[in-house]
Amino acid sequence: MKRLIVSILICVAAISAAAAQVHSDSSLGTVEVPDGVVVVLTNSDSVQITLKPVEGLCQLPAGRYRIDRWKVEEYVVGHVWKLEGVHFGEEAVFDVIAGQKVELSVGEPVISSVIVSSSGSRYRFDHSLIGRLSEIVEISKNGARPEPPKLQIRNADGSYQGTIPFEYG
Amino acid sequence: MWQEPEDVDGPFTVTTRVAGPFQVESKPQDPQAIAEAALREERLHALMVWGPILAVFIAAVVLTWLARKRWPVITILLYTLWVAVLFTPLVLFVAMWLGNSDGWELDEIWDFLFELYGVFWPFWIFCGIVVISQALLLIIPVKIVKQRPKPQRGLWATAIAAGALFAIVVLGIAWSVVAAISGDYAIENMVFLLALIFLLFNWLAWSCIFRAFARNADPHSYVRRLTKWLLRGTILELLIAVPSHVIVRHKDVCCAHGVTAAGIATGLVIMLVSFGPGVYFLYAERIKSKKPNIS
Repeated sequence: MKRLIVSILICVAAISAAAAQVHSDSSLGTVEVPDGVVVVLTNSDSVQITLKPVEGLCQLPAGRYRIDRWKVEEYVVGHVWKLEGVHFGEEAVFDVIAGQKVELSVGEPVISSVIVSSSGSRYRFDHSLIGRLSEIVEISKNGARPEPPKLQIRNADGSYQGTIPFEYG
Repeated sequence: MWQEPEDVDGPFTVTTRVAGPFQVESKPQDPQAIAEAALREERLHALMVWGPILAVFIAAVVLTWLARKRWPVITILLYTLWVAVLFTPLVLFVAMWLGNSDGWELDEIWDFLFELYGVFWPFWIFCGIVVISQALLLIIPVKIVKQRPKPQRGLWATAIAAGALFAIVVLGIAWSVVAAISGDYAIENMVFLLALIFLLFNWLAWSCIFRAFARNADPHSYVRRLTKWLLRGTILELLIAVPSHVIVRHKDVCCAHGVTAAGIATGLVIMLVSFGPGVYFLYAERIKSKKPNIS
């Protein structure tokens, strides 16, 4: 009789543990991140979380999150290139829903944006890199600014082609 | 800077080349079209920001001209200016400047003002509520001064106006306490919804209570009782909102101090509004004493 009771108790404990496990798993959602991108998030309790995805996927408890920054590093002939997304707007807020997958639009490709102001036939160009969530993107080479971007200007028939380097500052 | 060459036919297109191994999208763009679009956007933004401000000032000037010698309207206009012009710097200084040890750059102050006037529409709703309430609060004093019969019809309007102002005061007290206790949770979306429901319920309840004050009371003492309630309410609000603001400033919060600062600012504005009927009586008596007495 004692053995039977002990067996029943063990079974009940095992079932409870399994149920608890199922319950805790069911409160998780999946976040898909492009390969090689490290993403730092903040949850609704203002706790920072660094995502370390396995095959581009990672599990997070259901809730509201905000992307703080992301970065991608590449090593090219002895140089470390880093692309980093910072200063996000409202688009960076997303919800993780239990049992569902959410894809984060971070990393490459980024958009090269030019702001133009004119005074008669004179033009002033300002350049910035923008991410897919309208965040500001910064690029660095070995921890410093790389050579500035270049602006290529041409006319419709191709008879005029010019290249102007931007200047930092 | 680049100048269009005179001897070359356009249109021109620009593309960018960014150094590095990363994928960067750069579409050919017409610089003239981008410049024109940017200019249009800038003008639209300026219009959005300055339009409402300009409209308020033009309306104030036109109404002042039309309302010469109409003291109730002048009183309302003064309060409109108080709410729209002075209320803003008050919020600015209480909420941000005093609490920011680094101080503010002039640009940041301008940006804040632009945001408040141009984007933050609840500010204009608050201004509207205060101005309309002020107008309704003056109905009975005007009828008293003009020695009209007992103003039964104005009683409900006055009670509703006083109820709206008092509901804002009560909300300011409750929200300041919530902000002091729970910090940034006080500005969660759900709290905004609850605050709105709380405000509407309070408005209804206080309107009924204030209407009940009119029973067995002469109009003059009824108005005096309402203004006394408003004044005491705002003093209580300040007594709660100011310490709450201090508590919130010492917490690690992002924006909850805006709630307590709004509590202080609404308290001050409604305190001044509660003086409105009294100010009008003073005006009226002064004007009456200046008029030639024919006997």
